[in-house]
Amino acid sequence: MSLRRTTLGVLVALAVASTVAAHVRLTHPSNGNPLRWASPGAIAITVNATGSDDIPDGSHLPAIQLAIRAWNDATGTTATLVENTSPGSRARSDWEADDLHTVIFDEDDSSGYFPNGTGIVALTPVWFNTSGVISDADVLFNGSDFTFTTEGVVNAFDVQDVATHEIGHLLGLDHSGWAGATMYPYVDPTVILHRSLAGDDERGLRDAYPTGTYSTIAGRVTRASDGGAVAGANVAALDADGRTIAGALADNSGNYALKGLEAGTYTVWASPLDQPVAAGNLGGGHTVVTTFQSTAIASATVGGSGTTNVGNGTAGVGADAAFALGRNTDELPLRIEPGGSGIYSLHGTGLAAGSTLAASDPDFTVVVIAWNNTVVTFQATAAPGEPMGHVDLRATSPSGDRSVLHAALEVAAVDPFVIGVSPTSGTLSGGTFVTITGAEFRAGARVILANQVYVDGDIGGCTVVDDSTITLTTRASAAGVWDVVVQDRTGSEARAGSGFTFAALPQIASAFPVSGWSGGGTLVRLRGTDFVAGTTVRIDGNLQSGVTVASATSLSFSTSAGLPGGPYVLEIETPGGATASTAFSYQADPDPAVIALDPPSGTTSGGQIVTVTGANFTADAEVVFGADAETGLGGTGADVVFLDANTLQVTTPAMSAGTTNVLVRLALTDQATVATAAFTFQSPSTGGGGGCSIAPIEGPRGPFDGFTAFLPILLALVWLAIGARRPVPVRVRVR
Amino acid sequence: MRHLPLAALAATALGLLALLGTTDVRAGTVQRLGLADLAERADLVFEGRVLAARVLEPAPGRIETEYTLREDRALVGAACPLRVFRLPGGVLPDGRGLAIAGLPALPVGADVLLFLSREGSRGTRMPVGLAQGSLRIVTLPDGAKRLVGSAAGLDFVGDAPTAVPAGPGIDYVSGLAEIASGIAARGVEAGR
Repeated sequence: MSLRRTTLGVLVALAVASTVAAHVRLTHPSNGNPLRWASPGAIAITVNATGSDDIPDGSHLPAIQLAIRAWNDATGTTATLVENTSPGSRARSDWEADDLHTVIFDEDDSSGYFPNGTGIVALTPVWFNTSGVISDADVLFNGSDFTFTTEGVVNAFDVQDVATHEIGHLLGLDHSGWAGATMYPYVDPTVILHRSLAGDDERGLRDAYPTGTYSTIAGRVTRASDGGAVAGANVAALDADGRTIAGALADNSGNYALKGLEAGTYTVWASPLDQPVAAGNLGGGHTVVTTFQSTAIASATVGGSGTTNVGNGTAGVGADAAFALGRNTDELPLRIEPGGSGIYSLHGTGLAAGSTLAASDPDFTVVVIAWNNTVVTFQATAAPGEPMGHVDLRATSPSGDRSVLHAALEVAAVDPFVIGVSPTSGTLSGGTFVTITGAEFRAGARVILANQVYVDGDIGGCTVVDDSTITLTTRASAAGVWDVVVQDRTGSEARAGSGFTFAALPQIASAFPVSGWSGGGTLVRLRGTDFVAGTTVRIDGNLQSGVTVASATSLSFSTSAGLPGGPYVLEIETPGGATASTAFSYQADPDPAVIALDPPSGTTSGGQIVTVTGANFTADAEVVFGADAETGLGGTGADVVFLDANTLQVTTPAMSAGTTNVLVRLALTDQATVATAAFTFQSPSTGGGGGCSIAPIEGPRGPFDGFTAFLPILLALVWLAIGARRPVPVRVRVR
Repeated sequence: MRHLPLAALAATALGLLALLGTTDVRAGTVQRLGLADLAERADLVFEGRVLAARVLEPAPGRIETEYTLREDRALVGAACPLRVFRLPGGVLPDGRGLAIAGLPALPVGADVLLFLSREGSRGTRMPVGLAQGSLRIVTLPDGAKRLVGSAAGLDFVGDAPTAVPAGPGIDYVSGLAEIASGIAARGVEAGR
């Protein structure tokens, strides 16, 4: 801290805050009540379907979903964000509605919060009542003034990084004094390390929405000189390894509570909240005094629960000094990999030769290259195998003054690396098994592909087979050429640019009919996947007409004339050039056609004689009731009597009640036609209007009751007798 | 302790001024801007004293604070002796409120230097750079004026040349000079 600020720096804010627990919470501006959700177990959050103009369509979804997941992965808290994925909710733009907590890009200042030139990248309005209960909160990105990216575009703001931070506010958290925390208030397009939570973020959530049992270290920050309380000190707990674990802001009486601690031994440090995060980065109601220097004030060993009060600790904070490490213009946190090394610079005050610099974790070696008063350049090296987390940097001046930059070093895993993707394309409907090869793949990895995210261990997610292989099966995805992104739990990522194409890669599951008249005019229906508008159809190379794409799975067209013969290649081609094929044959004779069925209905028990009139019937005609109109499959065959080319006589099979299609197929050529909804099967109880029932009726038996049992036999004999005097019909039983 | 008596007085004065009240919840993601940047971007730049603040709910869910300021000096924009404008956010008498992350509240009675955007689509303005666009004008016991980041308890936010002065702030005259350079840049750009 500079001497100038030593003379001017005692600033006192409106002192409405009581004890500020671990991390910093948003508070009611008037009464200081912490802002919180009343039912944190299921905080609904909706990602608006319309993303940013800057990024590929739909790519904001996985980015924001991963931001949500970062908070949901926090342990020891009841808070859970539940994504509302209903298309209706995603389409809503009334983000101010209390029932919609949304993440949305405001591309044209419709919110009124982003008039041109405000410099606001994103913000989170939070509505609350007098007790501090949040009734609504939304995250708005300033899409009209800023460029966002989901693809690592230089000088654009990373959607996932910004969203993770803003969602912390949505949950009721204020800024953190830790450089490595997600709630660190300064965003830099080049830093994506805030995608994953730091210990301080997680403990902030535990503080706001606690569950389970954790320990608390409570105490009071006082001055060594006179024992006076120090308000608003930035208090940090470091574990026995020297890792930064939890943070707290002392209240205006100097009291602090470091919550959410696991059992262990901790050292407590107090530092002035002046650089790079200052009181101005916090919400109102916090009293902050910065006229002291970083000091180790206490140590405590805690169990798994309860509060250990260390009182004033073992030491009061030292006097202010013109010595400070770190500025908010530094690109913090400083990333270091296990076993890795890097050259870094930090700005500050009084960073003169003769000072020393060290990491709080002795497994990290710091060698200063140059002290230059306002900047220090140094090399830091991490021992191999170091776990993820944060480490403080401690500078000591030649006169012994000390400045600590909490959580300045973030230990991040080595970035994953993608070598290859196989296959490199898949269908829009999904189902493609993909293998990604590379290096440094770790458990919990996420793969981002198109508008989908696949998380290791999730049902339908990806599988980290080993450190060089990830597999997944694609879901239905948005069309386009997409990067294949493998992201570590920490947010570090590898990217295979344009590594996978989701395109309409049509597949034909069935064609019906598979044969038609060479004169053309046969209505052919195709079933399959990835049919898209603009698809063309060719038979034996000849373009067909009347192509209609009813859906991604249904296409029909009318054949043009062709030469009898085949089978020919029936090929479809999407506008993107993808093709699929099946077979089709041309026949010399016209297709069958159905004009009418008489009668058009019968009982579900079957046995109804029906006359089918039409054209181009042949002796090999088959009739099926209930066949699928698009595939010709299914249904129940009927006994058929071929009377002439225009008449068939069929006996209905037994079928369930309802209106059905009637298919007529010429068995020898496979030409076919379907009369849709042409025949109705009726339950006997509802058919005919007479209320006749074949169910036995209880009651006195009449003189002719026994006769009914022989009636079908009698009718059959009569029918055979009549039939015997007619020409011998061709009977075909169709199955 | 190396505090000088005058410094102690100054610190006390700043502290008391801060006690006039700052009730802002600040948390938005925002570009760092210096005084020149702010002046270059703002639609209105003026000094004044906050005479009144009134919280309104013009439509369900829209909570806004209407400020009335006595304008002492207009640096950008036409002069207006009594300046009335609205900022989003505030707390209604029934305790319900809307906190716009990073948006400063203006304490009644405070002398301020504001950098305001043009009116947005809903008729409200925004301080450029959120809290960065709202500075307190603090008069020290020796009569010197300083520009201080509007949030009480602010300390330096970096020593980069583009950082907004906070904490003890910067000398008022120096600040005006920096603002003037930003205004000059507006003229250059407007003339292109």
